[in-house]
Amino acid sequence: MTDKEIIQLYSDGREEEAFNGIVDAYTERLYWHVRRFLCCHEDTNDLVQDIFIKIWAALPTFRKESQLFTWIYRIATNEVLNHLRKQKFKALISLDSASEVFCRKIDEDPHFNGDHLQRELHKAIQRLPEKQRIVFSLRYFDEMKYEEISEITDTTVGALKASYHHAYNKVKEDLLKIL
Amino acid sequence: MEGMDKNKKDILAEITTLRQNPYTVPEGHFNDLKAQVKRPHKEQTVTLWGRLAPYASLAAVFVSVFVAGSLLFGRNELEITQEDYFLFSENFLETYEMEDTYRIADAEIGDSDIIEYLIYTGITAEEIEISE
Repeated sequence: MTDKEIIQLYSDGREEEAFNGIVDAYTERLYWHVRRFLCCHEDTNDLVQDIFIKIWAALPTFRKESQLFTWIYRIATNEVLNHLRKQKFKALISLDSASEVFCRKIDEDPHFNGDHLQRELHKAIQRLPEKQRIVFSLRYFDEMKYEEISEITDTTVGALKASYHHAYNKVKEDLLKIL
Repeated sequence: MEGMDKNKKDILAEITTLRQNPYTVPEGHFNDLKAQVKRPHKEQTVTLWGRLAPYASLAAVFVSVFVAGSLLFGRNELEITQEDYFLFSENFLETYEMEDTYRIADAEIGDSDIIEYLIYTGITAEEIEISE
């Protein structure tokens, strides 16, 4: 089902069907979007379910003139940021740094199937500040346009370009160190 | 010379496998997840009380501690007569037993509640780190 069809269903008052359309179209995409930040399969699963609850609750506030895709990604990204903040507090309590916790999760993840360089890339991403991590992920892996990322993150295109540039160089330097 | 080449190398652009997804999921996972998400979303809608309950229980605990502290250490300042005190403590116990037994006595305020509360009040992890 396309975004247009989903919006049409919603406009016709068939909210439940529209929501099911969103679940079918977006579960996989959202899962991978979230997984890149949370690393752990179980945590990702829980958060994706929470995100869909938020989407269902927020559906009445969706304005038809905005893009469904960016609206959904915006909710998901906010949830990811909230989750990362909670992890940061938890890490503070356990006297660990949040990036160390996530790097450990990558090392211990039985569902990580990448090679050594991919492992180091994903660890380097975890060491980036939150916003840089989001821009880097959406741009490098999902190849999203800056305009779309701008709508999702509510940040100007100029600021996003600068963030991506910093993030890209930091990750690149981290990877070059291990080569 | 070798160091210079290394710095110029754009490893993120050159090694295309880096863009590939290294994570996997158990087989049939997405079908299960979709079914799970579609089924209970109506019941799981977060209500206002659902959001506020942890903060309300936290506030209730603080108020209880404050009241108990005032009664124990500040009787003179509060000018509570012995009669009032018994009346109050009876009512307090009654209210406590009737309404808040589960919410206060069994409320385990764990790290996650405190973290939720700190995020709710807008405090960032960085601010805590700075104050330490």
